[in-house]
Amino acid sequence: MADIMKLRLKFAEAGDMRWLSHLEITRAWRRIVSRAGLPVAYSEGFSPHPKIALSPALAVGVGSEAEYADIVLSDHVPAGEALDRVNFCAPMGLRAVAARAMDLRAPTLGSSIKIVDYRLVVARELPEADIATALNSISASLLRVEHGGKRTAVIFRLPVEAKLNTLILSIEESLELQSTLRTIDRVAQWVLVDDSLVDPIDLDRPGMDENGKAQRDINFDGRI
Amino acid sequence: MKDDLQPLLPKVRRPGRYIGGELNQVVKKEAGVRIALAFPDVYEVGMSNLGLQILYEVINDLPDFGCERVFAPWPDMEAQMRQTRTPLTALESARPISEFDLIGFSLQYELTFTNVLNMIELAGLPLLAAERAGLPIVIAGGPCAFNPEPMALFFDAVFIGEAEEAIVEIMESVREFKEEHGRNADRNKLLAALSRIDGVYVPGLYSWTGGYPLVSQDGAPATVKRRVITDFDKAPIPKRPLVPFLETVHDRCVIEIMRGCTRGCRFCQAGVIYRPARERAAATIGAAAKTQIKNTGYEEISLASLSATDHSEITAALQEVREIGFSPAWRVSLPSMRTDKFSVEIAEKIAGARKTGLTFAPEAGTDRLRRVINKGLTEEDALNAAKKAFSSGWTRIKLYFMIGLPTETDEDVSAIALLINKILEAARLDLGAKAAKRLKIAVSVSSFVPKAHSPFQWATMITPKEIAGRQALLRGDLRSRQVELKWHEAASSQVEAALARGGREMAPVIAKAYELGARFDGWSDHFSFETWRRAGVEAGIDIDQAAKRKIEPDDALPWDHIDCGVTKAWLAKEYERSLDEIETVDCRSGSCSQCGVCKDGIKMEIRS
Ligand code: SF4
Repeated sequence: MADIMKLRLKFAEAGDMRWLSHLEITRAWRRIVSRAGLPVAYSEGFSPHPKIALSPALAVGVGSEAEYADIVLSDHVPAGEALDRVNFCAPMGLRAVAARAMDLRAPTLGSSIKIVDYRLVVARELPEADIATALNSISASLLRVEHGGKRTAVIFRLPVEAKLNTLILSIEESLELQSTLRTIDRVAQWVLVDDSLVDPIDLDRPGMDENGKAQRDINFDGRI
Repeated sequence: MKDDLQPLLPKVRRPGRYIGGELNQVVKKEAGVRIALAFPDVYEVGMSNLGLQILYEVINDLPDFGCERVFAPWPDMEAQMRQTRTPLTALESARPISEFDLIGFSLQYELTFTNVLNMIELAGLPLLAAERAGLPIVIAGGPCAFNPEPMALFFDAVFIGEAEEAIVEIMESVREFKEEHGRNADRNKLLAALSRIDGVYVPGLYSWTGGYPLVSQDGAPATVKRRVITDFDKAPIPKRPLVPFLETVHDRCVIEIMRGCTRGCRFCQAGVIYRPARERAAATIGAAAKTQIKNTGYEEISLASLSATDHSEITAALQEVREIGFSPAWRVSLPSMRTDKFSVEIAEKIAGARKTGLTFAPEAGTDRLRRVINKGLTEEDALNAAKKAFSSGWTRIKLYFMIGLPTETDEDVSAIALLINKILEAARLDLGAKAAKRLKIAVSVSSFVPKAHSPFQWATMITPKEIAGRQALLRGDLRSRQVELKWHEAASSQVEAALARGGREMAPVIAKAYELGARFDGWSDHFSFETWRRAGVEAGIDIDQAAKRKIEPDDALPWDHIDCGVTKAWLAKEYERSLDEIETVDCRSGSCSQCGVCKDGIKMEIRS
C-alpha cells in the first residue's frame, strides 16, 4: 500500500501522562491509532512498524500542552474526522487538540522544530530578579512571569537541543527550589519560517483550506 | 490522595508503573464493596497475568462492585514510600489499599511470598491475620494457594481454584457483613460466613499443633474443595483488557483457548490443579479475539493454554484469528506447543516469513526418564520436530530440560547432550554442512522442584552440590559453538522447594527473610540465599533439609485438607508407576485413568 498522506496531530500530555517515557508515549500512539482504525502505513520488512514519528523527546516527569505526532496514512482521512476518531480511543490525559493533513514531503518534526517553550510552576513566591539571573545562567530567555497566590509560573524559551534536565537542576539550585513542589510543562514548540515562529500544526499544505480540510469532495465514508 | 505519590515519582525508575490510567481502566466513584487485586511482583509482570485481567472485568462489570489494582513497588519506590511514610495505594483511585474491603493477592510463584508481606506492611496492616481487625479481608488465590500453609498465618482467607464465579459470592458475603455490622465490627462472623463458600479456606479455623492433617473447628469444612468452572466455553473472556503504557512481559491480547491439560506430566502441578481439560470453541475464540483487538488496538494475539496444539479445533481457531489480520504487523503466537511435527506445521502456518524461534520442552534426555515423568514423547518425536523446524526455515530453536528428576542418573544427564548433538547431526544431513553451521540451539536447564498436588509431591529435590555436579557434566558434554546453555538459578530453587512443600512452620522463616530484607526473590539479581539461610537458622529450620525432604507415602501432608479434585490415591499410583517406568495414557484418547476430577457435573469439555 502506498503512502497517501501525512496526518499531523497536536496533542497534550496532561496529568500523570507526564510520567511516561518517550518510548511509552510512542507505543501508546501506536495502539490509539490502531484502535481508531486509521489506515496507518507500515514500514517494509519482517517486522513492519507503523510510520508514526513524534516531536523531540520530552523528559520523563515533564508534561506538555504542545506535542506533535506525524502519522503516515495509506488512505485519505479528513483531518477533522481523524481527530475525533483518535480522541474517542485515547486514554485520559492524552488528548489530540488539533489535526492537519500535511504534504507527505513536509519536513519531519524532528528536523524542523527548533525552539521550545516551557513553563515552570513553583509553589512559592519567587523574586523576578532571581528568576532572571537563574535563566541567564542557562542561556534561556524569559518570556513571562505570572504570580498568583503563593505560586509563581515562569515561562521561558530554549533551543530544542538544550538538555532540559540538567538545566532544571541548575535552575533549582540557583533558586533553591529543592524542597519546593514544582511542575514543568512544555507549552509550545516552534518551527522557523522566514525568521518567524510558527506552530508546526499551522504549516500550510497545498490543497488544504485553513481548517486543514481537503478542498475536494468527500464521500460520507470519509474517502476522497 | 494521588498527590502523596507525586513527589516520589521523580525519584524512581519507570514511574509509569505507579500511575495507572491505561486504556480500559475502570474507575468507579461509587461501589458498595471494593477489592484491590494485589499482584506481588512488579507492574510489568503482574499486568501480564491473565487471571488479573479476567477478574478485573468480571468484578467491574457488576454495578455495585469495584475492582482496582496494586503491584509490588520496586525497591527504589519502597525506599521512598518508607522514608516518607506513604501508604501503598491502588492505581485507579490512589486510595490506600487498607481502606478497601478486600485485598486479593495472586500467588503465582513461591518466590513472591516476601513481596506479599511487604505489601501488607506497606499498606499499614499487621502482618499476622490474627492481629488484624474489621476490614479489609486479606485473601489469596492462584496456584500457590493449593498449598496455603506456609503463608496461612498471613491471610484471613485463601481461595482454592477458579475464581470467576466465587469472587462474586465472596464479595456478596462481605457486603452483607458491612451492611449489617459496619467496617470495624468483629470479623469472626464474616470469616465463618466465608468458610461456608465452596473453595474458601479460612486458616484461622483450622488448628495446628505441629502435625497434619489440620483439624477444622467451628463448622469449617474438614476439606476445602477446589472450585471448577463448568461450561468453560461460556466463561467470561476479557472484552476490554487493560492496555499498559509500559512494555509488559506479555504485551499482547491473550485468549485462553483451553483450560487444563490431560497429558499428565508427573512433575507438573498445573497439569493437576487445572483438570479436566476444557476447550473453547473455535468460533468463541475468533469472536473474543475480534472484540479484544477492536477494544485495545493490539496487533498481536496469543492463544494461551497449557498445551495449545492439543486443542481439538486448533486449526480452525487459528484460521479464525489469522483472518482478523488487519495490519501488516498482525501476529498470532502460540506459546507452549507439543514437541512434534504437527506442532511445527502449525507454527509454520502462523510464523509466515518471520521465523524467529521455536520452543520445545523434551524435559529429559532419555526415553526411559521421559517415561518416568510421563512426558509422552520419544527421542524420535523430538528429532522429527527439530528436523521439521530446521527444514521449514527456522535457524534457531530453544529446548527446555530439567535436571534432578526422580530416578535421574548421570547417563540421563549426558543423554541431553547426546540428543542435542543428534539434532545437529540430523540437520547436517538434511540441510548440508554449510547451512547447518548457521543453526543455533538454545538450551535452558532448570532444576526439578517437587510441588504439592503433583504425583512427584513425595519425591526429593537434589542438593545444590548434586545440581552443580550434573551441570558440570552437561557443560562438559556440550561444547558446540552452536549451542547456548543457560541455567536456572540453583539456590533459589532450594528456597522454592522448601516453600512449595512446607507447612505452617515455614511462616516464621518467610517473616524472618522478609525482615532481613528479602524482596523480589524470583529475580536473580535480588535473590540472596544467605538471607534465607539466616532466616532459617533464626527460625530453627534448615532450608536445605526442607528442600530435599522426602515424604513417605503414609505421611500426612500439610495440604491434605485441600481437595484439588484429583485424588491422593491417583497421585500415589502415578508416583508408583513412575518408579516402575510405566506410562499413563492421555485421557483425551478416551481412556480415563480415574484421576477423580470428573464428577458432580465436572467433565472434560472437548470440542471434536
Ligand atoms: S477423571 Fe478421567 S477423564 Fe477426567 S481428567 Fe481424570 S483421567 Fe481425565
